[in-house]
Amino acid sequence: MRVYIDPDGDIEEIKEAFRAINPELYERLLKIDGSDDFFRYMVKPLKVSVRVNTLKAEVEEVRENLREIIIGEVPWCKEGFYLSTNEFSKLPEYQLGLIFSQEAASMIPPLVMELEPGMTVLDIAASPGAKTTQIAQYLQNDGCIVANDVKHSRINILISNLQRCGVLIAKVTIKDGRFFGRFKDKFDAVLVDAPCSNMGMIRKNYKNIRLWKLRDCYGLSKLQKGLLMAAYKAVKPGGVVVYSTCTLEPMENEEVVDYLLRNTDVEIEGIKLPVKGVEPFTEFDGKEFSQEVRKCLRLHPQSSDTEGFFVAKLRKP
Amino acid sequence: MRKLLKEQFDAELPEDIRFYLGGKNRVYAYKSCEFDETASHKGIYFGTIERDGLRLSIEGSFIVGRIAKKNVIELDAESFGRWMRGEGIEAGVRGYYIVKCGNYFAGCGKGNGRVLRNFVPKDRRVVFDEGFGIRWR
Repeated sequence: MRVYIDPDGDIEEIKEAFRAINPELYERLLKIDGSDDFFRYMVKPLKVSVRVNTLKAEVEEVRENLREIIIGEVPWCKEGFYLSTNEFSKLPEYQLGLIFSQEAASMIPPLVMELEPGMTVLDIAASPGAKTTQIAQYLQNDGCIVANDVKHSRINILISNLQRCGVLIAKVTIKDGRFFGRFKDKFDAVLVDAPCSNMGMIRKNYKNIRLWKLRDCYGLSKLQKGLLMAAYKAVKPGGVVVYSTCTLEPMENEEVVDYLLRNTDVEIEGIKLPVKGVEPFTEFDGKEFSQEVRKCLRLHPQSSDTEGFFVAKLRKP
Repeated sequence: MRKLLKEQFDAELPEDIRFYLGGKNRVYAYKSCEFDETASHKGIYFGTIERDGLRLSIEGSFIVGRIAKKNVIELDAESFGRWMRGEGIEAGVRGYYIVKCGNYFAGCGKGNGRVLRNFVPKDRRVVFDEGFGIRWR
């Protein structure tokens, strides 16, 4: 069933569409952010954005060559641009791997990992590889990236994107991410871009309205805590673990970060990027979280006109 | 592989780039680290060793093309647009040549003295659209 919801339509009709398709999701969204703006942006199509792959080209050269179709810059990522077209197969830059299609919010996690050439980095849930290839360009193809994903079915697209971007330093592994907990103090930085309920991806595909179920979030939250704990064990003292999701569900975000804060000596740091978010939850659904989670970045669609997103920057002392 | 690169393109790659041979004479390039043995896959498809020389992939041409001193053919914007659409290009060269336009590299073509045969994979060709497919330069 194809669904179309007019983002410029009457706000009550938009809310009614959510309620009709998935009443459980509608009730949850009301608790998370019941504002009119929130619901309107939840159904507004995403802006098309790309990242220039600096392993193959200079940002300035590609910007000049694409000047006719660039309609803006991603404020928090100097390699990120908004385009007026999503017909990528017509662009030599795309076909040659000079640009990579990537949502603007998803460019944030690698930016806060404090990456430098020569580092050893773990990307615990890497597929399809947008952030992995971004990590590779910040390492300047110097160092090592363990690009892991648990699903065989997602590995081919990961390998294909690593190829297209010319990444020489990736080691693709197919394991449950919690496996990496045994590599104690081994990595300079770890990214946990966790599997999630995709609540923030509704703008990308309306099918996510229908697919979302609260009961899935309980299992995902448990998995996310396991992945984040494994990442924490695997990172070196002084190293950064970045936790991110494309959901707005607090059980999968603040609660997961709160779990790590309560069970380890991890320190949480603010994210200093020119991106506007909303205040993270310090309590939700009867649960209270550490005040420290206020340092996380919670992006609602209307905050910076992105998909719904969550990022936490964590450092092992 | 290094000897082949020297002979064919007069190019010397950094020592930390390593190669291995896969099936169908396909060569893969990577940089080594302590997780090599843990990996199911490493590196990128760099090129294929043909009977008459090394044919670089698009990614191989980006690595080698920047430092190659010979067997590189520079196309003008119009010809490069045609190349990216999968067409052969008229060129009086013989053997494998890296195809470039400015700082963009698009794999290898094989010249027979008249036409440079196109090897751009179908899924990486530019879909032609009047006024858009070759608009970038």
